Amino acid sequence: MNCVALLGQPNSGKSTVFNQLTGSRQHVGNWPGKTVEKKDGTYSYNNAKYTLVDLPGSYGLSGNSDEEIITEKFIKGGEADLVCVLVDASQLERSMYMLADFAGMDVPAILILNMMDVATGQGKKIDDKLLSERLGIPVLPFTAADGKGFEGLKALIEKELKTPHKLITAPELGQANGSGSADSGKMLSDGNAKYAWISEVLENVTKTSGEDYKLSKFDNVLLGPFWGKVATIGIILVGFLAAMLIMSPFMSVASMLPKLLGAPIANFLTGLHVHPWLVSVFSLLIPNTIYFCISMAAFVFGVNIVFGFLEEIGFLARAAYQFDGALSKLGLQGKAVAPILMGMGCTIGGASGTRVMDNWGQKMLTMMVVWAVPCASIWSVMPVISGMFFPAWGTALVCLGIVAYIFVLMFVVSRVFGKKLVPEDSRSGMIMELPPYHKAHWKYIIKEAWIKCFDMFKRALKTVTLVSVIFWRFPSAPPEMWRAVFCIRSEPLLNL
Amino acid sequence: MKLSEMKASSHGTVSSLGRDERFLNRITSIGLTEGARFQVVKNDRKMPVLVYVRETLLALNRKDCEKIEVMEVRG
Repeated sequence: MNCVALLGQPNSGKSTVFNQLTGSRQHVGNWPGKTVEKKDGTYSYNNAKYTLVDLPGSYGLSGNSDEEIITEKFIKGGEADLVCVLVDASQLERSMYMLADFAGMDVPAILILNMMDVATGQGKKIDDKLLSERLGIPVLPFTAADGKGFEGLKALIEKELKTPHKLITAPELGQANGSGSADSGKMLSDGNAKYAWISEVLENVTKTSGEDYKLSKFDNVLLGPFWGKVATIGIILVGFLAAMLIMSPFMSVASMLPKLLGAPIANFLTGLHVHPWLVSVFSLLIPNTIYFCISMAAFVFGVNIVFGFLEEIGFLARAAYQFDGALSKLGLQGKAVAPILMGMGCTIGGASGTRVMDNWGQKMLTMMVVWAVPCASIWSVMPVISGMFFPAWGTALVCLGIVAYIFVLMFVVSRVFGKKLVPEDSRSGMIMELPPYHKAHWKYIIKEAWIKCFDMFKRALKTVTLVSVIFWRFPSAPPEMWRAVFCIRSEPLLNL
Repeated sequence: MKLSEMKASSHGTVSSLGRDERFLNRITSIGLTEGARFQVVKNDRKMPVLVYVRETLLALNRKDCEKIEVMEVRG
């Protein structure tokens, strides 16, 4: 079996390459004995099968987190026949750090210069031939998000597995500079040695502009302390409206299924003298289950398209900057803003969005906080139901009370579980790159959202079928009862 | 002085990143090393500090910035 591993910093586009190569042939599990997600998948090329392993997202290989230890062990263990190191071509110097960390390992590799479209857009030129000569491994200029160069990548992987190349140069490490404790001193001097090596390797390969950074007018507003928050929240609200527009056709078609299919199927089966028990399975249980699952998947689809777009253009990183202060009070950091906001559209979407968090503890804590956030259908149920029992002012009061309660709940959850999941000494503040604004690659965004939504549909089908069967066999519950239970969450949205 | 005290659009070099290994590892891998030259792009009260280093715009948590010692460079 040909085993290929993907290595790169979180912003290098690693998951894009992984998803585009494997499509839906993925498997998500855990690394043995660890709470770190393991993603692997397969693809075929020229009648040969390849296994692709997505190494856990980390910034380096210095063994400072479970993710880094796993990645280092995996590469050193020789399980991968080839390691594809991904770097961001638009920030070559900084993102080559991963390659500098990898350089000490004696494993065949190729270097993928991803996001060439962004680099070219910034007027950057990279001499990939010279770079390849210096490193001794193939260097491939690439734009993963436009989905075009993948045949070339597969061909290169095939070739390199037959005639592998290893790095011929590495930074000189291990010279302690004497300051501080032995370990931190070594870390500092190693860090400098790695960047020195990078500058050496990149000399005449690309030019580093020494110009100052100027915030665009738009960023000046968006990153401002007050109006920035207003604009950020405004953009997200517009995003939710867009998500609802995207999912409403799917949901309205799905909502017709039970009505359209129920009676004809019942008539048809009764005509065949099928046992009434089976008739109700096919005419009630199955159409309603499918309806409910499609509605849920449509939620996930809409929310993922919008958030995929907001992430890709670089907006979500700016939202994280805005809310880092508020979230650090919950023991979280700015990055948690994306899953929490997604949770306002759909709790499932929010929970799956927690994968952006740095480690397991933060991921779990974010997920718990996401649960406290009411999803779109609860937002619409709140005023409707309270409106039935209270006059207008009472309804407003009830809704306000619920919103206040949400914040209290988030606070309590973070107090109760925060210390355990994210211990005080392991709390790390936001250290995050604000990427330049990108153009969105729609095809990729839709494909990603589709994969997630299909995955969601399959999982929902299993759970909902089980739960519907329980309700349906409940002797005192008429069939309408479970239908009402399942529809109540999605119904109000259909009437918007 | 501390990184958190630098004014927007001023320049500086890092003199000390502290001795916390976990923090050192993160901050080094994202581009900030001792001796590195940087530009402060934005520094608003109660907000993370925006720093431009190695052609990358970084948002750094305010509390972390209080641990980073820097020297201002003029011109």
